[in-house]
Order: sequence, then C-alpha cells, then structure tokens
Amino acid sequence: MDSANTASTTEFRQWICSTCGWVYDEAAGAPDHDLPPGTRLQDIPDDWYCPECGVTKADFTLLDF
Amino acid sequence: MNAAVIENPAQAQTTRPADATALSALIANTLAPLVLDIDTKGTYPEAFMRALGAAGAYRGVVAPRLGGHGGGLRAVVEAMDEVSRTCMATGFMVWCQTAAARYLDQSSNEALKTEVLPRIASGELLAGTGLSNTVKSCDAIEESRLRAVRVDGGYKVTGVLPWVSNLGEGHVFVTGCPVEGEDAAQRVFFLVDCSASDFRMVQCATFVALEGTRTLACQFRDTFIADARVLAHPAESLAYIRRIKPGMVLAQMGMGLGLIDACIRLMREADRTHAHVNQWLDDRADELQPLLDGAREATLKLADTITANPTADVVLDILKLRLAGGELCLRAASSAMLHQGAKGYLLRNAAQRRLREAYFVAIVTPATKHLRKEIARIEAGATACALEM
Repeated sequence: MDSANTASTTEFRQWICSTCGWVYDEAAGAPDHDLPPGTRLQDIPDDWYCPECGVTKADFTLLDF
Repeated sequence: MNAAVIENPAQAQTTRPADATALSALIANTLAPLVLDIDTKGTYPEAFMRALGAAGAYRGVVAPRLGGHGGGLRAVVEAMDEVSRTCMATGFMVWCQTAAARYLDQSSNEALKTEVLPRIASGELLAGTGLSNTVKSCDAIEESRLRAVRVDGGYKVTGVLPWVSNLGEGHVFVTGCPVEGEDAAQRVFFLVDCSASDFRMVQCATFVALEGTRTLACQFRDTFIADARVLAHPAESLAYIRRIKPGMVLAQMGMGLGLIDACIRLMREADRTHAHVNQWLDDRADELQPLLDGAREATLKLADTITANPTADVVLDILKLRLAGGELCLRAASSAMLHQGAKGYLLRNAAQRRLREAYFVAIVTPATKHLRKEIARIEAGATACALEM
C-alpha cells in the first residue's frame, strides 16, 4: 500500500448508532446495506437508516475511543 | 390455529369478562402450540391476539358504553398473567393492546374513542404503544425522538421511534412528543395509523425472546396528525400523563406474575425427579410461591385502586411493586434454569426461554434502573414526572 492510500484509509472513521450500538465503519462500508467500502457517513443519503434499529444517520456519533 | 375457537359465534362479540375456563382453553389450544415458533422463528400470533380480544380479554380497561365489560385493570392484568404463564412475549402484546386501549379510554377525545375503542376492545383492531421514549423523555432519561410542529388542523411529526411492538399494516399505536414552541414539559399525545402517508415502518433488528412481537422501527417524516387523532393536546398533557402512567406501569406486572408462576412450575416439575439435589439450590419453589402470591395480591389491589381513580396517590407503591416484580422475575427464571439443569439448555425447554423473557420484564420501560431513579427522586420529594419540577 503506498503512502497516499495509507493516508486516505486513516481518514476513514467509525460511527456508532446511539440507539442500538451498531457500528458503521466507513472503510468497510456496509455492502449488505448498499453502502460500498469507502462510503463516508456524510455521503450516505438522508433517507438511509440504521439496519439494526431504523434510526437515521443523524443518530450516529463518532466512535472515537 | 384452532379455527373453531375463533369462529365460535358465542365468543365473537362477547362483552363479558373473559371466562377463566374459556381463556385457559384458548391459550392451551391455540397459543401453547405456537410458542416455539414465536420464540425461535419470530412468528407473530395474530390470530390468537384477535381470538383473545373476541373472548373479552381486552375489555376491562374500556368503558362499558364503548365495548368494555367493567372488569377494570384487574381483568386485563389477570388475562396477561394467564397468557404469560405460557408465553411472556404474547403477554407483552396483551399489555401493548390494553395499554393502547387505556390511553384512548383516558382521553377526552370522545369522537376518536367512539370510533376506535370498540374495535380495539374486541381485537378487531390491533394496537401498540410507542410511549417508551415519551415516558423516558418526561423523566429526563433521554431526549425525545419525535418533534411536532403545530399546523392548520393538526400537527406535523418528524423523527424515529426505534422499537414499537404489536404493529402491522392496518394496526394503530399511541405515542407522544413535545411540540415546537410549547412548554417543554408538555406533550401532544396521538393515535398513529400504521398506513398513514409520510410514515414508514421498517423491520430491522432481530430480538431475543421478543422476535414474535412484531416490533418495528417507526419513521415519521413530516407526518400529518389531524386534531381528530389527538388524545391530549399540550395544555391537557400533564393531567393526561398523570391518568395513564400509573396504570401503564402497574399493568406490566401481569407479564411478570405469569412468568414467575411458570418458573415455579418448572422448579416443581424438576423436583419430581431431582428434589434430592435441587434442595441445595437457592430460591426454591416454596420460597418464591408466597412472594408471588403477595405480589399478585398487591397488584390486583392496586389495579382496583387505579380503576376507581386513575390518579390515586399510589404512584410510589406501584413503582416499588413493579421494581420488585422485575427483580423477582430474574430470581425465578435463574432458579428455574438451575433446577432444570442441563436439559434447561435445550431449545424446546422453557427454562432458557424464561430466562430470556425475564430480562425483558426488568428492561422494558420503565426498566429497573429507571424505576430506581424515579423511586429515589420521588422519595426525595419530587413530583411523579421529572419535567413537572
């Protein structure tokens, strides 16, 4: 992996659903839910919802621990 | 499904209190054979829920002029208790149905009550309750997930309720939320038609023990709620909460009583062959039985008090009883599992299912931690709803 790709990958973040705890990893995406690897949370359509509990992405918070 | 039970014309429109023998037969013939599928396949026992209504099990909390039978909260607790002895997940749906009926019964919207209550009371219309978040936001435990804006002829509601049970196409449920520009302590309570426009139900999570309860996420996107569907406008809401909340919490005891009863039966069953070794366990059947009997007696006594006066000064008694009920469920289910031993791990053995069900009683709103918080707050001199302080 070259340094540019490494830098890009490290910018991906993980987000956690504040209702059910489902984690969205931007690097991995959620292919089972139509989100290809590398999809940023900000780029997910507003009508998308958490596959575990149905809340929208507004209920996701940054997983930063 | 035993079609003969559902099609029995004598049961189809009864407004009499559910006959105990008929109720037992209905549960034994139609619910008991479904329990494993409810638990492991998520089968929703819709036909049973309708048959139970036809047999009169939901009518206690409905005024006689609207299809009730005058049995009061006691009657629905007893029905829930009986159902939960076989399947607590279904007992929970009895609570959902009767809680929704009671929210309507306690509303001043006579036209809506006249239109909807007889159908809920009979089981023709199935109903849920989406008040978990409403109650928790009232008690300052979490933010409200819904927001309403007053518009001409009603309200527009936006947000998501993640888990509302006993839902489906053609069902209804009750919820409530703050209204923009109104007092933060007040709420608008309303009835939602599951087929409403700008409203969507989505099935997301897979639940332990409760998968058969048709628990869905409810998404509101500027959903119009007409004034005709409102149970309490903001100005009426604090008095309305005082009328509905104690009975809502107390009635949940029906689930717990039935579950504890079933656990004691599992212990006694195991003792038929293993009493010589089970005697070394804690929380034996003979120790738990008087606790169950006492909890049942206290529940029914409080149910009569609440039926006579929904705002009776028994909130603290109800919260303490409900807390004890949840804790006793955990003890009873844990002990039933230990009494059953290795066979308790079999999927067909009820002990492991009871263990999973028991935690629901302790976790469903108001959960154990919520109850302890509220009891401490009220004992410190606060009012029964945090936002009223």
